[in-house]
Amino acid sequence: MISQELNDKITRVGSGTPAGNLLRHYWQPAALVEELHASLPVAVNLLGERLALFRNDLGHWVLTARKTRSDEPIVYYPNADQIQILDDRPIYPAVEKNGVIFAYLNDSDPPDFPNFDCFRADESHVFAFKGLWECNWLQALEIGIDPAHASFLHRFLSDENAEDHYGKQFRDKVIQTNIPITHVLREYHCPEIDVEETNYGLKITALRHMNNGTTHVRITNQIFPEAICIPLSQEMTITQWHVPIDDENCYWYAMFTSFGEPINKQLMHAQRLKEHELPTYAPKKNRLNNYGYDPLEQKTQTYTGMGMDINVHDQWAVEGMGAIQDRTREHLGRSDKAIIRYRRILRKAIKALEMGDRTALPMHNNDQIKSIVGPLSNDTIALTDDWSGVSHRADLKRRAACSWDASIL
Amino acid sequence: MGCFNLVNIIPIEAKPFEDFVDGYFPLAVTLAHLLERRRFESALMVIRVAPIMDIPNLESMAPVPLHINPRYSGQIDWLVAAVHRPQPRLSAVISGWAQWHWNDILRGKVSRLPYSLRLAEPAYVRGVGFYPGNLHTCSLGYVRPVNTSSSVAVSTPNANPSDSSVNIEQFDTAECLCWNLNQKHFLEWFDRTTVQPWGCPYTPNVNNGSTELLLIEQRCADTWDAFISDTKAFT
Ligand SMILES: [Fe+2]
Repeated sequence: MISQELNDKITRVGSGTPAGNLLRHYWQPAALVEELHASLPVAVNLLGERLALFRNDLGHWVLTARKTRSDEPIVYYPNADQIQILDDRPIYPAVEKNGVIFAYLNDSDPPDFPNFDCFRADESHVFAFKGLWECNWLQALEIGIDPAHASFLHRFLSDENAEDHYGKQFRDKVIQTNIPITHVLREYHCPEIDVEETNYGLKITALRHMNNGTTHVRITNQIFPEAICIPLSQEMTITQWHVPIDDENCYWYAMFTSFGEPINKQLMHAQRLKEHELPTYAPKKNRLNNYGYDPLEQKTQTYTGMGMDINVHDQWAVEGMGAIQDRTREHLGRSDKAIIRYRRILRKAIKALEMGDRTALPMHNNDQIKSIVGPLSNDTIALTDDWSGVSHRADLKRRAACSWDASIL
Repeated sequence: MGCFNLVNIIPIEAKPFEDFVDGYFPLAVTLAHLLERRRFESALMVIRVAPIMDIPNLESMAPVPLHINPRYSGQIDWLVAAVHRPQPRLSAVISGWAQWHWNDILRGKVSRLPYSLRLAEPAYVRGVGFYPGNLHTCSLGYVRPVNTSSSVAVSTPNANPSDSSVNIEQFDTAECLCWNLNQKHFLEWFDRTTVQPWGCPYTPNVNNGSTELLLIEQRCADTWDAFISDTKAFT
């Protein structure tokens, strides 16, 4: 339980708010490159600001404020000729990184980009997509750093054949085994959770001790302030930001990164277009159609009855908490370790900015930022005594075989 | 080093730790649970940026309300406390310093936190824990002296003459940080302009012979780095 005042402080993102000020000290995903094929400028609604994205005279991407109608919807994609740029407003820099335009909504010098895999991989090995969730960004992020929820919310009552797993979460087999991840999550639902603070945020380890002296190890990460990096399959990870459009809506921006073959982007795009409307990237399953809930499916196939796409489960869970989760009624418990640890970093960073100390923010030291690589993110099954070594070696092996420079030394 | 009463400096068994405490119970109960779970006699611990509440007229073991009221909520920005649990009590004895704010500004700047204080959500805690033994201290209970080398020692006016058999030669008093353990019961407002939290190096003016100090060798900085930097994070 936190007071309304503290909840406002960590959730609201408008200009001049504490959390909004913090997010304005980090590069924010602003648009997918695939959205820029029509003519420019393109409308971008970000952190409560109504902006337009275009190229300046030097050919660099920039954003600035645009004229807004009072009845304009919050998710709004007008044609270029309907966008009127306002003069004398701050011009924000933007850069393109492997399919995503990142913007820095601040006058101060932006920090460098860390050497995360999604940024340094070849373009052929990264696929980017986004989706709309109608809720505050923080609850969208916090579900992604709770390793326990996957055993319930994403429970599949039987294990599908893994042939059709490409580009889908929790559908592969664990590396070097024949065990489907769906089996592990379902049968071992009480993970031991370990959280370690790192120079980029948090490394979150979920250990599911199985009954034959082995342990399933799933390593995920919180990348400060609002991203996660998690395994998708044996060859892919997802780095996903939860970017506020305003206080009550956000986009997830995902950069799927392959350590193996170049990504079949056409297939992954088609899979996701089946579930989303353009140009808003709004999910076709949503509150209005009860997220596609089917009682028969719930009885026989899935925990939620909302289909096989785990994104819909998460969307239902976080939108169901209300536009901004009421944390005055929340009772966190021990399995919320990563959320507790994350909020501590978040509050510390907000306080540091209130004291005027930018240097205390994570990833704000440009001397060190290029040395931030990885992060490690995988699923392995190991003898319980050596789970850490097995997970680490599996990561090194995958990196060594990678066609782009994935080294972490 | 001749000006110190070295008999009173006794290396003790100490373990750095990090943990999550559940909150919701009164802080003294919550921290007693932590000591119990880790088999510690006592600990020096630090909590940062943690939401708090002080619910009027709520029995210590009664369930907390489902909903927090702004009148009794706030945040600890920084807290360093010596915590020990005299058996068979259920709650810990806490002494230390903190900086905090209440949402209700009418509550004003009182100089001490109430005994009924609770963490409003689970919190991450860093600290150094001490195991039960026969060395009697004022603020850490009965802790365990060690004959082998330890990077942590206690300087206590309580030490009795037989404790002087403990070998302190390996403990480098010239290169250590000293935390003043002589605090009033529970948690006082910490004012950086009047209080020096760490003495460094060990100096006579931090110890007039009646003060209890915790000493941590600086050469072990790696082990203690995160904890020590948290203890210095007051404003
Ligand atoms: Fe999920």
